[in-house]
Amino acid sequence: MKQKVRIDPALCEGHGRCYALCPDLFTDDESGYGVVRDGIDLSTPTVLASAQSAIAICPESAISIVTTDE
Amino acid sequence: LLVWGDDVSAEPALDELFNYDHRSSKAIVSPFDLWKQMRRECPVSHSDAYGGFWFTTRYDDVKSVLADWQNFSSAQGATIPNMPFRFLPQHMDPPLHRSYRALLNPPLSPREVRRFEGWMRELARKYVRELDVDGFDVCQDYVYQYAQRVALRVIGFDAGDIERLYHWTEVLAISDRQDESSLRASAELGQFLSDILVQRAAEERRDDLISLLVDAEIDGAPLTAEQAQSVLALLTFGGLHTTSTALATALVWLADHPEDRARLERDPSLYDTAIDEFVRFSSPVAHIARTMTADVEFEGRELKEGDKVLIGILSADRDETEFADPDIAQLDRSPNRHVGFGVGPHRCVGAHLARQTIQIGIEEFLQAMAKFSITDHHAIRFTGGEGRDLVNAPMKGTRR
Repeated sequence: MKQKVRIDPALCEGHGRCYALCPDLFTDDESGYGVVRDGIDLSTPTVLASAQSAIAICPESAISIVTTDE
Repeated sequence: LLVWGDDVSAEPALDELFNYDHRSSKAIVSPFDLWKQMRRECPVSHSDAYGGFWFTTRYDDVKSVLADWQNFSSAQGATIPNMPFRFLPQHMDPPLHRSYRALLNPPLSPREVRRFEGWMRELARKYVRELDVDGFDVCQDYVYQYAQRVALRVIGFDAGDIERLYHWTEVLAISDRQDESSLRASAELGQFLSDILVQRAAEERRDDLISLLVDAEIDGAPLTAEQAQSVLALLTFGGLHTTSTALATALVWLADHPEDRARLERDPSLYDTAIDEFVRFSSPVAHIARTMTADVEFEGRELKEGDKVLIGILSADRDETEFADPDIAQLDRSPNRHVGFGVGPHRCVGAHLARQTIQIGIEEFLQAMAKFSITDHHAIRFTGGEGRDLVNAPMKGTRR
């Protein structure tokens, strides 16, 4: 079980708040939509706090923390 | 004395009391107390103006209306009264809308926009340098000169066309679109856009949006001349009538709040939140309209298929239930889930360019000026339609 940051592609409209304000966790694709960077470790408290602030700022509520089986 | 049958209910006839008109001088000059009262007492009101429409003012309602494109459609227009012609893809719904955005998003992505930084800074510096600092209008002499030229260049118009384009779009933005001057502006603008697309199709391609439109395909089929013209019309309106107001609002705020100016200069990382805060605070597209595709009960009101709905974007962005101290620009505001760029499928396609235009516009102005202040707050002037454009703000200052 592992916790991951996820952007729901059906909800993301490319506001770009996540990668502007939390560039350590997010970047943009060629159309301006948000992308979660590889190797994000949510067990690090500062990373988790950054992920939570990204969840709070997304205008489309497209970002969440999900639990996966990996 | 009251007689039997008289209405003695406590409910005032709020719809009649407000009878909201976004083109009234009240809504343009000082709408904030009115919207606050409407959010509290009558969040969805009905107006008799322009054949009748609903007006929604609360943050939560505005967000849900913008996201619910199935019931609140854009395909019948986004203004009240309607524009004389259709803008694409603003005046369409998903899924076709998405194909247009697939065309327009990539050339306006943050990466692409960053390539423009050098010439944008040059342009800002030129217009700051030319200011007569003993007395200038920060809107007309600096902000509009710079920000509109940025938009024109990205779209691909010649700088010499700025005055004509501004005139036509201004007439259509603030008029009721029925009078003779609107119809003339509409015809002239349409012809101009059509001519430029024909002309540019015959020329070598350039690095601009007109070149993109000339060769564009939507779902495998080339754009027709009318479709390309309608996209170009939307880009022109978006470029000329929005960003300038956010930038001008920022500079007026900083003139009145030198402590905030000092904070920005001490800590430039504050720009990350400050830009969106100025967009929230000004929300230049103050209103936008939708048309009901079904009967829907909303905030206790019965909205019927075909009804027009006016969405109070700027009211939502000043809603005290979402934003603490909403009438203050807090440069470090976070979270800041404002709706100034819209929400849902129609979110502003030029948002990344707008942010960069605003930031460079502030940076270059602060860089050049030791001090600046408003010389007459009475002379700060807005014009209005659906948008609320800040068009005059007299200042004086000293250079560094």
